[in-house]
Amino acid sequence: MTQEIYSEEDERFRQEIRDWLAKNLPDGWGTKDFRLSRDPLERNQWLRGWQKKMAEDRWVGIHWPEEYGGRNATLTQQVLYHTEMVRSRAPRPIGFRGLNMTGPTLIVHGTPAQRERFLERIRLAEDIWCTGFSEPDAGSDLANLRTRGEIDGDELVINGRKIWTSAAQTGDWLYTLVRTDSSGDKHDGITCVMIPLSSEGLEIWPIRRNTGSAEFNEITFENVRVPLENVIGQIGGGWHVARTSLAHEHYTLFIPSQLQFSRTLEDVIRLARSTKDADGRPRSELPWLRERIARLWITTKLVHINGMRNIAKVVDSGVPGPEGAIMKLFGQEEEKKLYELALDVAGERGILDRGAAIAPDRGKWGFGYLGSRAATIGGGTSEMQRNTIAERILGLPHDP
Amino acid sequence: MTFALTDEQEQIQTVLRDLLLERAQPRACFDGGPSLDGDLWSALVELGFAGLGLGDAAGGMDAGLIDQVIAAEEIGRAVAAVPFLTSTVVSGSLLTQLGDGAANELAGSLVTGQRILATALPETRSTSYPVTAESHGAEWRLRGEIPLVLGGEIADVLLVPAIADGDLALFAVESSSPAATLTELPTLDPTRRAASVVLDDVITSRIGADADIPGMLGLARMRAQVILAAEALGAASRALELATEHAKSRVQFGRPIGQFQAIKHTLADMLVDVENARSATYNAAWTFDELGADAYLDVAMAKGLATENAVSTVNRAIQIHGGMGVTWEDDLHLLLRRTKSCELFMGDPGFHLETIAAHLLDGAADAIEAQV
Repeated sequence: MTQEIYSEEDERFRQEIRDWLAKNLPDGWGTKDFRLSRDPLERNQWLRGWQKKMAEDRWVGIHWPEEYGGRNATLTQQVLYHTEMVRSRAPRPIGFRGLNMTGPTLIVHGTPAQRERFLERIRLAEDIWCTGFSEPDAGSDLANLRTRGEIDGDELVINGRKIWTSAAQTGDWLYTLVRTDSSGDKHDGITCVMIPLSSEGLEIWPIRRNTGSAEFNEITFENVRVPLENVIGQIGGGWHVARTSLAHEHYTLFIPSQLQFSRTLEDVIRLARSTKDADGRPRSELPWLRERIARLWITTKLVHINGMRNIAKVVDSGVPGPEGAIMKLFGQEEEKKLYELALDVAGERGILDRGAAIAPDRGKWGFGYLGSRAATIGGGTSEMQRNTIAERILGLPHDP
Repeated sequence: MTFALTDEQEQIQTVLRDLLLERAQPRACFDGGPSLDGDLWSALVELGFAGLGLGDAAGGMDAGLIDQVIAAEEIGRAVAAVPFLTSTVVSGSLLTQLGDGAANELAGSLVTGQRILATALPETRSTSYPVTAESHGAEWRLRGEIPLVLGGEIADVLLVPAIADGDLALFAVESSSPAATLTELPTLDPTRRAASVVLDDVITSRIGADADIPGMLGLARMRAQVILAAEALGAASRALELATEHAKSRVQFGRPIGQFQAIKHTLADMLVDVENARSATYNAAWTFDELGADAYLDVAMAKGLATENAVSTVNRAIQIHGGMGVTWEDDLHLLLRRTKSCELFMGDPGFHLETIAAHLLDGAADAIEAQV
């Protein structure tokens, strides 16, 4: 869309990543001839190897400063990078949480020793990071967290529970918040700490989702001991540190999600054209489905335009604004609609699940429908995004 | 990458917003008043806005549809009763594209404010033209009835497409011609009215004899659709501001009502809808200016989505205002009248969504990937 004209330097950059991907993606990539292993551990090993390969040529964490192995990439270059990654359907770096959250946080708040110890391992996928913010009693009200961290000599002793941590079974480290002081305001006394997932006293309990699969976990801590050198920033300064890391969730990440959304919509369109009702009429001729398909096509365009407008604003003002909440609210609400549409396009046979021979698209849409119910909950509920928009953009009073 | 306005565009915005805030008198159009804010239009002519986008040959300013969109947004905000859409954007652009001497002269008189023009664009989904032209030597005689010409009631000259010798041609008709009868039609939005036109052997001359008239009318229609989206966007932005101010100052149950999530979440959703309307509208203008082959889809998206979001934003603003929101005294009904008219005229949202659906669902199946 619109005026996407790039400088010669940016075009060279685009060509460079495009060539690199063409040369390094495995043979048959993106076709039926290449399939990643279904075994989680083998899959994990392969993906770690892929990220390492990218990292060796400095193609992960390109927004990091050069001294830490990044490219100090401009926002325009990040846009081009993500676009090329998606175009070639290259796998997303498995250590994306470390690259987008822990790494940038350490670069801002970490000690030289912490940077030395962790950053390169994050880049090379030698350490895969998970995050632990929520607790059973601290969801939207994150500052209400109760997992305790007591200082004992030069160690922190942790007791409590975290919930909704993804990929903990295959990860190495947890980036989390604990309460080291409960005497003052709930935002004070929170400390940001890095915990090895192999620690003694730490247990991982998979949570089965409504789809039947288990991507999330609950983590319990019973006298888990980590050295104080694993604290990021000041003891008691964790709320401030966490706010920076959440702000680092990157402005250009809408590009992969938007392209993913477009691809799913393409599948829905194929389904609508190929699925016929009992009278032989393709479901793509049904007016009520046509309108909804058109609306979701508009959504894919809007996500892109909004994202680019947001970038233009960040470039202009130099700081991230609350506009991210607009994109998040709209994007997550629309993601639910997309899967609702998919199942409705499938029609009567949409009731069939995987395993039924006549299920449309082998029954994959029921899984997506159930799974996407989480879209308006995870990473900040839609209600919290509305509060952010109302309070920080429109200047309305805070909740009581 | 430019997904932001230029400094010049921001300047247009500021100049117009201040001027319109001070001078626009939409309420003068009600209770039997005229549908033209003459003083305001003169001021806009003076500043060159009547010729915005019409180029040197007509004495106007070079500018794109994006610049016209920015102006239209401000006009919509103020519900200003000026013929920017009908005279400048639709008629002016048609004439300057034709580019012949007579057309440029006519466009020039529009730029200087000497004349106001309107174009009898065919109604949405019409399959035939209601006017025929017969040649009598060098002159032509036009006959037919046009049910609705937007801005026709204030036009000095009407541009009328008519079937001449089996082809579509364009003619300029003086509204003062004795053989032309224009009847003003009352409208939901009295700041923008229309006329029905009866032509009974009006003698006139043809303009743009060698031009592709159907193609140009198609482009004029697309421009008008984007401008309607922009006006609706401006009006919706204003409604959001008014509702936000009200939510901050109105106290009930001992606190500003904007502290209640029923209100603040509604306002947050309104902001998302307004920003989406803005993205869709600017995008359509940018794509149109770059002559993108698929521009018609971006235009359909802007006209469909932006006007629908705008109407729903104004409606929620009324709800937030409570009883005052439904009074004559409150300006919200002006915004509702304008946005609803923008939504209905030149294809309602359902019509434009179907344009997009047809592109996605009825073309060659192997092209899906390129379409999405």
